[in-house]
Amino acid sequence: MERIWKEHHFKDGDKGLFSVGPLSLKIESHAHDWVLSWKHSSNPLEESLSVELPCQCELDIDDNYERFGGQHRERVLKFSPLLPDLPVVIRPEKTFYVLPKEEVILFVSVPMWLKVSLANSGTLLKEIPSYRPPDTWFGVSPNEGEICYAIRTKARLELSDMPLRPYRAIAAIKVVNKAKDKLFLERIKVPLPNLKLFESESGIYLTETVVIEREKDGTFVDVKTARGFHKDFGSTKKIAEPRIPPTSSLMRKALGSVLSSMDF
Amino acid sequence: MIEKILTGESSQYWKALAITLAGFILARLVKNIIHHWYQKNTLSQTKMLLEKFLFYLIFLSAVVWALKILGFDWKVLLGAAGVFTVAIGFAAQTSVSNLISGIFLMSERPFQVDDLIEVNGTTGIVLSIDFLSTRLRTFQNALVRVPNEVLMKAEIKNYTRFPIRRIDLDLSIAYKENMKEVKDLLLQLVDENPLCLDEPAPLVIHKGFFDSSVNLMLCVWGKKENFLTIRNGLFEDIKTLFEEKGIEIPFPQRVVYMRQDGLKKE
Repeated sequence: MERIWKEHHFKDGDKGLFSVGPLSLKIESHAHDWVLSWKHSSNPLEESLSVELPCQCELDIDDNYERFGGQHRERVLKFSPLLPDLPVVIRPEKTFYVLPKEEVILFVSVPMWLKVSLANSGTLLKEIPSYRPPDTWFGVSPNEGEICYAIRTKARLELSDMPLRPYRAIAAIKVVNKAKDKLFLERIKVPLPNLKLFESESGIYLTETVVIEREKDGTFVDVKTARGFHKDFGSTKKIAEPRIPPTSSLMRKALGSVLSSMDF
Repeated sequence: MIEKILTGESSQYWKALAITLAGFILARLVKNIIHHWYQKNTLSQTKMLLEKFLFYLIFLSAVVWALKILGFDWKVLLGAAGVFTVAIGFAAQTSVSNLISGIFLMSERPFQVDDLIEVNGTTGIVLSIDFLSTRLRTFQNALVRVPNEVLMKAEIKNYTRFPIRRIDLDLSIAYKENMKEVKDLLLQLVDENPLCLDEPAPLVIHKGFFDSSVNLMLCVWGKKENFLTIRNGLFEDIKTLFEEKGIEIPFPQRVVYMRQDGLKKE
């Protein structure tokens, strides 16, 4: 499999074409600037993964175009994976209930962001999503809530069923229902910007597990993170800190709105 | 007085002048400090009000102090105030009304600085909310001063109060088109646009049967800052979609039937 998350060495005048799932990214190294242009395929399930550096082909990507000027002393770019910059709201494709006094772990595949930075200085050039999920609103009304990304999921319960792609991370959501009635999972907010990102020995990307507990009286008492399912992938190493460090108040805030059904 | 100042006969004039200047400089200094210290953490409206309040408080205190040094008798002013109250009351009626309205606006907060509002047919971004008037900048970059009294009486639409907005697009299709199919195509189009919110869900409203067309309204939600991008993008995409699928956007038309029996009589 082509390695995308590494340092890429450019020479003056080089062009590189990087296909990362639905994302096609062209990078040109000029005497005094870097030129980045990129576009996304209309198919979010596009599975291409390739690196062409140097690339001789004529490229026609003008959907998004940015230039970064400077003395251009560094010729090495580093590609690193990042979790999305907003929370993700997952909605099971089919109606899903957690039975009374039961617990489940849902596995969800989330797109990762491609962080392009100068290898030596670490200067950030751009963060580009491998796939940009649609926006959604998560709240009890159009007045109160927050903007998130929306992901429809098959809500897989077996880790072995998960498709493994190097530009997507696997997030696990453990829902513990201690109440006497079943719990309808219509939409769940996963606070991805507050989670760490890990990489397994086999190059699989994993987030921390989000644990949601529902008490006997039907109230949600806790949202916390753990590394529950990582052992299935052998040893894992942390490769990215949370974008927003989780604090107790932040997690408490997430608790109040982790599950939602809207009524407009 | 000027003669005395120039000749240096009376040091209290210099003292009063120095106090006034010092008060002015101190007021500006405090204003600048507040402006920089609260640049990120405070709402711009609160910051603006605090700046103005402290500036005038410090400066006017300095002026009052300076006048006192010059021997100004405040009792005379208070006595005269009784005589002038009626006259001033009539003259300042509008100003006082605006001032009171301004205080109510500040406490009620129907809008804030940087909000996009529409009032009496004028749409603009709020630049400042002062005690007497509110200033708007229109999209044509014109400054509009709206007296606070008018704002208190008028209906105000605040377009940016909430983080998301609904965008309504009026559409017309020909009678021959399959409405269900058109509705599904429109919802699919919205689904493919990442700027359109997944929730609240988009919807298509049938507005009725009109002279030449069946009218629909496509309602989608988006972030307030994406309003124009979504609106313009969707109109372009819908036209392209209708052209691709051969869906007719009808022009106004009238069907005329020629009666055969009438022709025969002639």
